[in-house]
Amino acid sequence: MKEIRRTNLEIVGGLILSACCITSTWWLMRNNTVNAVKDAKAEKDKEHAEDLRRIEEQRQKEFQMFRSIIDSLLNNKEKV
Amino acid sequence: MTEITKAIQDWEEMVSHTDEVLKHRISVYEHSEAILSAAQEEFRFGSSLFNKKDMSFLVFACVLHGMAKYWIRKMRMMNDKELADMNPLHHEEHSTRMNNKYYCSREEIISNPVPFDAIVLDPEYKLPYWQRLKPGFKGTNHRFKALGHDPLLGLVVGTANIITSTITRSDFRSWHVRTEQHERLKRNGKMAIETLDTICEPASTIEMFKAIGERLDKEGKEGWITLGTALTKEVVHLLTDMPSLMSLPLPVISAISPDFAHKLSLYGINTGTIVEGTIANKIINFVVAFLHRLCMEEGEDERLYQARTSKLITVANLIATGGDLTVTLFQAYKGDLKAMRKFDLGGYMCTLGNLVSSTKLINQLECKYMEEKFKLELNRITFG
Repeated sequence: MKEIRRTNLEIVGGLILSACCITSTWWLMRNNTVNAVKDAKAEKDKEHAEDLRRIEEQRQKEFQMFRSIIDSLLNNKEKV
Repeated sequence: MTEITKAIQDWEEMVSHTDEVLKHRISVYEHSEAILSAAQEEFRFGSSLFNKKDMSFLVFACVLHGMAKYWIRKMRMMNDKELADMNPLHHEEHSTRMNNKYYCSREEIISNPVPFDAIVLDPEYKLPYWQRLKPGFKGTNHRFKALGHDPLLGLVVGTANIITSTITRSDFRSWHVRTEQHERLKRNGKMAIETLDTICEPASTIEMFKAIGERLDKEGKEGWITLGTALTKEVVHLLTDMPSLMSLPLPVISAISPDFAHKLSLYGINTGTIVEGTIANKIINFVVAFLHRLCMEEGEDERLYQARTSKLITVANLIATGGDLTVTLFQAYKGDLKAMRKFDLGGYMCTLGNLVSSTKLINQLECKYMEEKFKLELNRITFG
């Protein structure tokens, strides 16, 4: 009798403990998973922003160069 | 000249617009963390259950789960007769076998109890002790010793037992079951003659299956109908026994070790505690999800609503299982030896499974929501 009572209590205790463990693990995992995805994306986006900035600078330079070529061409035409 | 100037102006405008778009995109990518965090906050706020509708659904779901658990507990306290009366497919049975070897007519199958419920041994079965093989079936152990009570093997062996009036033990040894009269002492102290299913001489399990094969060959369609009747009888019997306190053993375990299956059942690990709760849990979750979905208003974000439904079901499951665990803990502490046998183990397992799958789903929805918001912000100014 006593043994069954003790085993019953042990099983219920085990069930409560495992439920608590699983709940807390998954709660932590939930926050960590989304935050990890967010951090990874933010990191990647920063690199992407850097690349875009470089492209933008290059584009600006090319634009300035074309602009000066066109200006000089127009000036020459006016002189002619 | 004016045409060239116009073309240059257009070009400059286009370049300046591209500049603007690129600068915007660079800024979005640079501030991606802040944008994603804002979207995350928005998702968490939008998928919160703290509103009138979701709270009402939560209470409704908790009440349904509570009622199911109450019924499961109530059924476990009922005796076999009360449970049999509750089953609409079950009807009054009396042992009236013709006592044919390896043969039971369809009428006998319908009107007699299943042979593997027999526990009384034929008093005339007196062989010398070296030839005697005691079946050892008792009221407390027959569900674990008789293979007909195994939820999986029983579908084959139990059906064969019913169609041949035999009983098969967990070690696959069989005995014939016959209708015999027994003198029994009643509760009022008087002696009475009762007609009961009685375990008689040993039978061969192989012969039992051979007899079924021969019968199917001989009787053709009629034989198959009898086999179907026996299978139905077996399923109805299993369904009647399942919700009881002793319930049915876990599949196949009783064939390996009936004592272990009995011990597991004593601590609430049996087919009944797992299957009943699982079915009740799945049905309630489906009903709640369906009704919640029906109440979705126009213009509500689909992803947020899906996350709310999933959260609602998980929280209701957790509350109901938490309550059930508390009651069981209290009963076990008070010394109720049947505490674990009344616990809804299937519901508990479903709750944990649901918690895991729901978390996974909400995570996916949240990630997709953040991604969508980010794309929306990125494309706010386009190259046009």
